[in-house]
Amino acid sequence: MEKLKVLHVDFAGCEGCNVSIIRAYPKLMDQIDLDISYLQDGSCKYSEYDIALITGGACMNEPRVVNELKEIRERAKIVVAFGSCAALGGILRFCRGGQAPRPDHRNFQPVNSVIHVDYSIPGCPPTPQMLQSFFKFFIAGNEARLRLFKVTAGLKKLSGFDLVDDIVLTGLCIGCGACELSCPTGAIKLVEKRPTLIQERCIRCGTCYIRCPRASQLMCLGGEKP
Amino acid sequence: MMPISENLLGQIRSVYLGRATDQEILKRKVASGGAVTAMLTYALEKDLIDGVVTAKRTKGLEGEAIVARTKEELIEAAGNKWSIVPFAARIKTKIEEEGLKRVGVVCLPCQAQFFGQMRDFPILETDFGNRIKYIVSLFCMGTFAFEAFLNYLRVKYGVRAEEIEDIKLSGDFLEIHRETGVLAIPLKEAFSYLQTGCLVCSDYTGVWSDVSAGFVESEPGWTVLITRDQHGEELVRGAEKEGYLELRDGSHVLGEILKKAREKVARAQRNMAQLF
Amino acid sequence: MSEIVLDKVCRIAGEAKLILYEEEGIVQDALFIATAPVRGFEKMVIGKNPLFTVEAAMRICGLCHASHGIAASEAIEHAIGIIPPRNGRLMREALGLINRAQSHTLLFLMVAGDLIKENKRNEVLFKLMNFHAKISDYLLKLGGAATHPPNLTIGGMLSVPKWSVFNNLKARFKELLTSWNAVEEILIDEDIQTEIADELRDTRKVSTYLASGFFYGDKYNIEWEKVSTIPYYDFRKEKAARESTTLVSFYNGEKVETGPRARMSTYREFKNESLYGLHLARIEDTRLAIQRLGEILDEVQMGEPFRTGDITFRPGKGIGVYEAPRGTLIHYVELGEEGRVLNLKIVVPTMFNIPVMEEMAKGLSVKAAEAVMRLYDPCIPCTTHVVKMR
Repeated sequence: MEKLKVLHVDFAGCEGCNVSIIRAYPKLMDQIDLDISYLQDGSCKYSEYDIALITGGACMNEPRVVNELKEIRERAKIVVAFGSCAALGGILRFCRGGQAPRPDHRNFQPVNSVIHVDYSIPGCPPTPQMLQSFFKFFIAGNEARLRLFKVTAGLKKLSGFDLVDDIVLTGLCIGCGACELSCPTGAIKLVEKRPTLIQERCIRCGTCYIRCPRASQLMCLGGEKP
Repeated sequence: MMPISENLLGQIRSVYLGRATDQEILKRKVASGGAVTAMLTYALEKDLIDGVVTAKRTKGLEGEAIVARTKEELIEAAGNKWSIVPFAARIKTKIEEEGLKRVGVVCLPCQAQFFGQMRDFPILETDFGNRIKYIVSLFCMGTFAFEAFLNYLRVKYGVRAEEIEDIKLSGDFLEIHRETGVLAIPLKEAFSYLQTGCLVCSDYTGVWSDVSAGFVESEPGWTVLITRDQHGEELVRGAEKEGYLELRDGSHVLGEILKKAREKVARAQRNMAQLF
Repeated sequence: MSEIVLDKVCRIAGEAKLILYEEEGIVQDALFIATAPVRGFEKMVIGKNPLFTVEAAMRICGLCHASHGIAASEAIEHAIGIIPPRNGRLMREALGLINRAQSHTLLFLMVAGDLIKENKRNEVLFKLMNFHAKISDYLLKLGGAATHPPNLTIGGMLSVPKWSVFNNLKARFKELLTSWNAVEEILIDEDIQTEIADELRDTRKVSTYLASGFFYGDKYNIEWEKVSTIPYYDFRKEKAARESTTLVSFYNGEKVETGPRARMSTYREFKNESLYGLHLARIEDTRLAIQRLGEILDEVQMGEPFRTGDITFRPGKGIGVYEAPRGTLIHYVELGEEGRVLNLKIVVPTMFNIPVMEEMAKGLSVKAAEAVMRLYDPCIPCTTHVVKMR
């Protein structure tokens, strides 16, 4: 089978997701031809790609960023937002601007604010194994398993606060404990069988939400953004 | 639950009716055929796994997470627990404490979804999906919001939580066993006290498991086993081959399971309509 | 004189533009213009709890995450007047050193495109990633995650692995060293290196060095008031420099080099004065970091505390100075009422290095000048959020 041509582009990110991708690459080399800045010699190898893996969020105050995203959308058949910043905003949801030398950089958004995204994979950062899994199911054409990520691509923010608002305070929480094991900063703890959020540790990565059996069910019921 | 395929019952490899061959397992107060206990005993004794993580009832309606390493421990943990044990976090601690490398998990559909997802999509480096060899999900119509249920028992029937020795399912009734006698509550009444979250759940069999196990009324004394993938098949057929499990074809009960599954979905949709 | 513009320099951490002014193939001057948007971490944490500050600071950079976590924790601890217990301090050092090894490994990958012959680059990738996976597992077990370790917190360690986990890590240490040795062997093999490497070996250039410590960092080893910072567009007056999104820093009014070569020269009598020395110093830096990690694992005493008890957040000012992989990192924090952040300023090593990088490029061939930029390991995510210092 011909290798998938995959382009990786990083926007305003911390590079943590890039590290995950390059760590995953040795095991994926047989299936994908990855064009990533860490291995490039000049500019992009091809003019068109099967998949574009985007990491980092979009700074809406820089027109060139917006244009570049639109250009990537044209050049790639599928766009995957990898990591919480690209998928849901993540820590960028706390950015407020006002900092020299560019105090005008006030507005950072997940990538789907600019272009249509096919799959969004939250995580801060998602592991290399996650990327390998994604490709395994994608190449096998198993859309059913990837449905959660397709639905996430239509959402603009998810966080521990949303989990508490949508699932705990509505009484829908069943106390399974999945959220506690899904938090990279340890912001969720189960107290008397219900999650409690330690607000100052929540970085809005959204992992807890997509792993909650109840929350993910509700998300998938809503369907995908057309 | 998050749907995994168009089929309400999820991916199905085969449907069997299973029964433990070991009398000791059958003797215990197991409602169905004891197949889950038998399969996992097989897996433990043949060293396919080094522990089974599941919930064990402590008293009344409460439970705790335990790791079973022997047949005896498995038998102790068998039976209905009635309320959900949030053992996801405990599993992680248990796995680390006891250095387990390959575990079998017996859980409810919602927990099966979590473990199945964690195994398929390890987003965090602290995920331990790669240590979970078998996910066995039990059929589930819901777990009790036991605080609310106990309150109801106290207010309507004057039964105090401390008095309760045992709770059994008998036909269409829930039997509350206390020293002073047995109180039988119609199931329909008791079901109002399921957790709200359970009332909107659409997964009866646990579509994210490797094997789902449950009970159908037309085949008492037998456990229905739905295998969904290679792992599930291996576990069930392996247990049969080594003499731990007696197996029959179970495709004729699919209709019954589907009926219950549809009931659960219909209930879920009704309740969701009220929420939104 | 002609201008060569590389709109997006590849194989560096982040987004930057490189303009080289060359004459007859020799670079006369260079402009290193970072273009990544400014996420504004200093402003983000104002009014927030210090615990959030540490979590946020780590996410400034996914390559030197632990460094920011450590410097921020040190600054806050200094402000509220606590110090971690011995175990906490040792573990923090260990996490930082693992991060140092991780970060250098990725840099080796990026410069492989310049220094190592094309037919060997795949082998280098595999060896580096193998080592990276092994060392990242240490950070996962000790720090709670291989990137942005949550166990790194104010006062010490948030949670500590079991004794059995420690023992397991110690038992696997030999394997880690073997993996590193394979990496070191291929990185110093001159037979598989390119002409660029040869040119760098033949070019002697030294700097004034800045280093605050060797394995950790010491706020009393540098004088905070001697650090000055200006926007890049004030430093370079060319029109192209106006779009830069970073600041640059000087120590005592001078350009100073910070990083592995600075550490090695200051604390280890490292004598290689060629630009290739940057590469050798980094290799040595990694090896010593791993060895020290091994020592720390033996020094930790189970049964003793890993975190200060009784942490109260209250007003105060503090500085944290830490030797990040790329050099001296400084966090300065001011806490106000309820201990909430009033002010946070960060000086990252790349800010010191940018003026030096541009100086070092002079007199080299175009390809070598590009390689030198990479050898200084500029980290753009770190550099694009610094506040102008008074």
